[in-house]
Amino acid sequence: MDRSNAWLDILVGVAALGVSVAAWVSAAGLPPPRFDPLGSASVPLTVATILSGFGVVILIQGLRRLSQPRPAPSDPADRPQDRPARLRPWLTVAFFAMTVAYVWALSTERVRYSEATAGFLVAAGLVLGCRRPLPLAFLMIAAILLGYGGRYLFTRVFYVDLP
Amino acid sequence: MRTAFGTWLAGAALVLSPHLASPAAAFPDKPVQVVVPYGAGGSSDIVARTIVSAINDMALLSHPMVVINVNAGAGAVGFQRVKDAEADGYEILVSHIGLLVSGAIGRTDFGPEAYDAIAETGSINIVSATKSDSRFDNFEDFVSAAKESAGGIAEASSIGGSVHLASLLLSTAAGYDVRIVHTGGGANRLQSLLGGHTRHTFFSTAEYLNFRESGVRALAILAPERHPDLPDLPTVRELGYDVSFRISYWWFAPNDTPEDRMAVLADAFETALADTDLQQTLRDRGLVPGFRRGDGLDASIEAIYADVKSYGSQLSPN
Amino acid sequence: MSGLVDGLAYLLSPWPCFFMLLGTVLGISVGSIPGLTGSMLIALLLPLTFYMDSLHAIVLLVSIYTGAVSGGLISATLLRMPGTPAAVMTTLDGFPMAHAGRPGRALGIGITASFVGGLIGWAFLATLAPPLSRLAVQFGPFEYFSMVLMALVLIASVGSGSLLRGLFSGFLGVLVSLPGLDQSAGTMRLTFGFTELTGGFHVLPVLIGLFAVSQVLNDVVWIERRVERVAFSLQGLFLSLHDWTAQAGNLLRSSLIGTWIGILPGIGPNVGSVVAYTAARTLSKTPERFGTGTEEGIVAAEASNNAAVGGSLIPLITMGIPGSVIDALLIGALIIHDIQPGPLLFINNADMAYTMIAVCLVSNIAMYAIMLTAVRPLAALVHVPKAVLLPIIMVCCVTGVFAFNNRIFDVGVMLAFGVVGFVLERAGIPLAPFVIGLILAPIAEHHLRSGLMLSAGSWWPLVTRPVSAGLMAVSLACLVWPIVRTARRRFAEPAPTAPP
Repeated sequence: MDRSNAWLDILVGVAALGVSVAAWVSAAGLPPPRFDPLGSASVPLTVATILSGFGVVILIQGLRRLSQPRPAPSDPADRPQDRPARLRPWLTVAFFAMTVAYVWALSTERVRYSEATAGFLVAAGLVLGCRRPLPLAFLMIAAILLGYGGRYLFTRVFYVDLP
Repeated sequence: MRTAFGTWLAGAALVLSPHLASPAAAFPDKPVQVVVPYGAGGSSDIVARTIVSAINDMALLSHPMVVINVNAGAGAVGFQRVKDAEADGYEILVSHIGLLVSGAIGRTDFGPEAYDAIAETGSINIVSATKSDSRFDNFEDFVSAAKESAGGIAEASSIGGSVHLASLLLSTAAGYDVRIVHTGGGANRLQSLLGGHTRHTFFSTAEYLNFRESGVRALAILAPERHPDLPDLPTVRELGYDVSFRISYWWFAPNDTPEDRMAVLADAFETALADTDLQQTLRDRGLVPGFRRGDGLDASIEAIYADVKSYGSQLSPN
Repeated sequence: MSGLVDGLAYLLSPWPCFFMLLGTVLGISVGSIPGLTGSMLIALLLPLTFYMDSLHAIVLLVSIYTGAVSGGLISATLLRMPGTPAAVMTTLDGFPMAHAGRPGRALGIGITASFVGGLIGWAFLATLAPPLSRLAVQFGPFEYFSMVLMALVLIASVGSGSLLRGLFSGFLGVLVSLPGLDQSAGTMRLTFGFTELTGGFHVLPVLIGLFAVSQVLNDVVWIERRVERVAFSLQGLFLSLHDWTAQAGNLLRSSLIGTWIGILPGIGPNVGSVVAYTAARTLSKTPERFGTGTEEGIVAAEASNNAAVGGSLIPLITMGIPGSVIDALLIGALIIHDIQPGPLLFINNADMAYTMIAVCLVSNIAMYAIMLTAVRPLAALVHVPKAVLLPIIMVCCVTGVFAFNNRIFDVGVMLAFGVVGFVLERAGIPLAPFVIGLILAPIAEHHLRSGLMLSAGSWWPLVTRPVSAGLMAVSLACLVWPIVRTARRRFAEPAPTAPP
């Protein structure tokens, strides 16, 4: 376990704690039930209490791991096939940001579904490193099919109102 | 060769073609969206789709109407969506007493006043029912047993739903108490009754007509007069309880929708409901067709809302 | 019996046969594409069936149902993205096995288990429908609660990772199921004033986010990893005699569980596969191998979800009560055609009743044949460059989740849970318990509270009603047994003594 995992534990623990406290406070404010003996609040209260307990334990585990001296590099035999590859966290962030932008564009209803989808497919493909002609051609075809075909299918056949 | 698939395609094409031929009036110049605030396949959905497809088949609007389901929060999300929609007549809501209950118990912070009512297109009645082999031979048996029972007879219900309201109206009028057991929709109440877990419940006439052969029996109907498909079933009024209750289907547009657009939509519903084929289809699905618009409709909704509000706190789960 | 023969013969005539094949292919397709699901396709097709012959419509819809429940296993196995919620459990063992270089084997087992499960579910539908549905209505709230509890107590043991992290994940799933209009009484809770939250988090966007979106993100992180050219062999696609005997008990048990859960009103294939998987793990001789690519896990998940299809049609045909979410849509389709589901179906519309039963069998056979044929071209999916595949999957997820309920909010929920799933997995927290909590806890709460209203607050019926008492005993045993087993093993092989 390396330090980044310790930070992840701390993140998860704090988030769980925050969510369960919010849930607890919100559930505690529910009025008492009229019809059923248990009421709407009891399950949320119980679950939030237990979850906050687990959150604390995971937080402590993370803190403890952080305070430990840096351990020896983990055994490379752990993940043999993963070793040679380079991790691309920023690429992931970029890709996710593009997805969020795509969904946001759709939600404003100013962009048509077909153009937004086709644009997103090609742009995301390029960002992810699709450079060779054959895959790129494939992606273009998919962009047209999904964008325009999808729009036709949903609005004309299923009557779902895509933006 | 005119195959079934051919008819299907032809039918689909009829609805799908944007009726370019008609010399379009200004409104609508694109499809009107009907928001069904409940799931696909439910009774509101079926009523809405039946009427919408009749309007489309008769080409009563220059563009077809389309139904979209927004099924979340017992209708609340759909209610909110149409309330917040632009008041241009292109997004309308189909709903019933559920909207009124929602406002009365504070599930939504608005009631029917947040909309302009376009039309009422028929209603559905509620029956009191029990298992076929139940000890209750008739409604009077049930009432006297309920009065004597200490903890109250277990009644399958849907808290805050229209059957719950019907139950409150009737138990208040007849002076008995029941023990409400929340089971949910019609099929769940049927299951609870058949399994002998609860002993009494209410169904809409549409549900009852579907369920009765499964082993349930209606005791009385909460309607001003007997139902044509259930001629032997007494009304509660005949039995001496002054209760009448029905679930009407209403179509709403957001507040401040232009009068002329409201009129175009209301005309379409009125013409469709005058069609005997549609009336028969609705009857087959357990509904009583009927049409209302304008001031009479507003007054009726207001009166029902006042009634519902007076029971407001009792309908609320807490 | 002659009615059934007529039904089968009807399906051999050109149009019904065409709709059956069309439905099965469509079902497998939407089932295998992450983001698109069978229930979405059926809901979207419902208005179109207005214009179809009623028998054709039902043939089409039931075939989609069968196909969709089966199709999910393809992407679950090859991409670690369940194409449909019913295939979530399949990812746990299907993907590790495929990843270890045996995709043909993993798919073969999944497809065969689906087929056998479907056949067993169908056999009950065709022969024992009326008595079984009478039995199912006897199942009251306390019985539902104790049955679901049985699977819930196993929450921590499913998936890999530490007990603590499993439990954490499970309770997190329960918490996510809580916001919105409370199913048991209609109270709004944990909405924090957001109208959009009054409907809560729908299971579908949450699951697609947790599994498909987070996996897409995961694949992007590792995008530079060269795809090992696993020589894709169809070896093991067909099961040997030895496989059959080894899995016979598991197949039968999982199918029976799936069928029964299908019959129970309101719950269907998703719950069936969760319960059968946990049962298989508890009863297995090697429970520690679950989650690492064991054949038993794939068999349990896939046999049970397909068995639930036949099972869920039983209450629909005999009583007009939907056995699952998709059955509620089927009832809508029948009512649109003025056909009343329920006991009168066999009297008024016998052809409809027998057609439904027949199509359930025939589409299952068609599914088997189509899936086996499609395995080789589908396996090429693994070799499509990720840069092409991942954006396409993302678009399918966004579009499918939006079309499901016409809400952009659901798409946001999906993306958010994509990040949550990604972070949780990185932190070594298994996602399977999350799903179990998310799917089962609302059922448990609803029935417990309904039961307490029925018993006026008394908890005794949980142990005084015989079926409920039996199920509670099994839950207790499930809880205690793993501890006893570990203790016994430790006792049998004493801990290694300290090194000299």
